[in-house]
Order: sequence, then structure tokens, then C-alpha cells
Amino acid sequence: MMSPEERFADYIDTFNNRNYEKLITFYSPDIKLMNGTGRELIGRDAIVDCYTKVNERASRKIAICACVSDGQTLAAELKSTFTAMQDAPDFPSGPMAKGDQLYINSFVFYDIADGLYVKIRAAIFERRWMRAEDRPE
Amino acid sequence: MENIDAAGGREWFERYLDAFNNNDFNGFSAFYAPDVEFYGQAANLKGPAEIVKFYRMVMERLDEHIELKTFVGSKTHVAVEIVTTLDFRKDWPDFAPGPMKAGDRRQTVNFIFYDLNAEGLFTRIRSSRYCVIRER
Repeated sequence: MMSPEERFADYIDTFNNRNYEKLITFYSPDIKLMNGTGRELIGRDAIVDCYTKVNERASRKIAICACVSDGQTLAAELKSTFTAMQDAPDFPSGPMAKGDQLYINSFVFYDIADGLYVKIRAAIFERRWMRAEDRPE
Repeated sequence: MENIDAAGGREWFERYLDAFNNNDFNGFSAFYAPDVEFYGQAANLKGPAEIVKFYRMVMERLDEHIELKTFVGSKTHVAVEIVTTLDFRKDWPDFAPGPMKAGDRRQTVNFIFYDLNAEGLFTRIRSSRYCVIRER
């Protein structure tokens, strides 16, 4: 049986691979997610819809910087890298031009029941932009 | 049996918070490594003396109380959700999140991550705001 930390690593891999069919198996049907921009998503479909739209315009890779769990709650520091695949003037964290990158370090709490995530709450610690025009060739 | 009062445990952390909430500067700074780095929402600080100096200045202007809502800890990391209540006793026009007046109360929910060294001392403290309950 996987530890909460191992299961979380599997969840992040699933997220990074955009395997939405598997992704929803980590969530309780009544999952609530409050992301770092203050937006609340309720239910598996709402989460998949949101990230499907985000991923249409920007590739997102999440790395786990730190993770600790007591089995009922898991806390993680995540580093997300968004790379705009196209111009996205209404991107949730701010307008992005094709090639722009956004790095976000966030602190996230996951409440766990019966092995499923029931509530996810994220707060942004650091947000850093790397504009395409400023990136080295 | 695991010693729940050991560094990284909830009771151990609650002793840190008790010291902080009681303005016990020696008590709470005893949890800091000599090279501790503090990344707060109002200041970035290095070393126990700088942190204590900052909080002495803060506590002259307001009463700060921290309520622990969620705790997860290990020997290397502690992550907490806290409600921070600030009761301003003096005007603070250049307070980082916005000007405050004596009598104002500000309440926020914050996520704090602590890194621990092998001696069980904090080496890095980082705070991010999750939401504002009351602006002033």
C-alpha cells in the first residue's frame, strides 16, 4: 500500500501527464478546490474542465518541493511552471504572450478521507514571470 | 513509541505558539537556528536577533494572536494553517498590507511552512496568505 506521500507523487505525475481519467480517481465526488487565485472549484468535473482549459493555452508542470502528511492531511510545497503555448490575454494569473513562463511556488493543504482528496486549498508564496522576450536564446 | 513532544510534533509546535502569543521573545526565538531565514508578508529577516527586533517593534503597536487550525509535521518540515488576529493599539499608516488605525482589527488565514535542521530548530519560515477574514 502506498504512503500518502507516494500516492501524492502519483497524483502529481497524473496531473503532469494530463491523464484526466485517472486524475478524477484521486478526488472525492464532492471535492472542493480553492486555487491560489481564490477561485473555488466544486466537483471532479469542474476541476477537469478548469485544467483542460488552462492546458489548452499553457503547458503546466508541477514539481513537489516538499511534502508531509499524517494520513488525514497532506501539506505540500509545489513549484508550478506554466509556459504559454499561445497568447492568453485572459490567463487567470495575468496576461501571457506565447512563450512567456510563469513560476508559482505555492503551499497547499489536502484533506484526505478514505484515501481520497476531499478539500484542497492553495496559497501562493511566490509568483515570478519570465517573459519570452527576456529569455535567453 | 514516538515522542509526540519531539521537534516536529504538534505539542512541541504549540509550545512555540504559546511563547509567541505571550510575547515571550526568548521563548519563541529558542526555536530558531542561528541562520534562520524568515520570509513573512511584512518583512524578510535573517537570524533570531533580527526577527526578535522586528516583533518587538510590531508588538509595541499591536496585539498579535495566532490560532492553530491545521498542523502537519515531520522531523524536517512543519506546515500549519493559522488564523492571525491583529488588534492595533496604535496607528500604523505604513503597515505593509495597508494603513491601519488604533482600534482596527485585521484577521487573516495564513499557510506557514517551516524547515527544520537536525537539531530540531527552524532554519526557514515562509508565510503566504490564504484569505482575509477581516480587513480592518
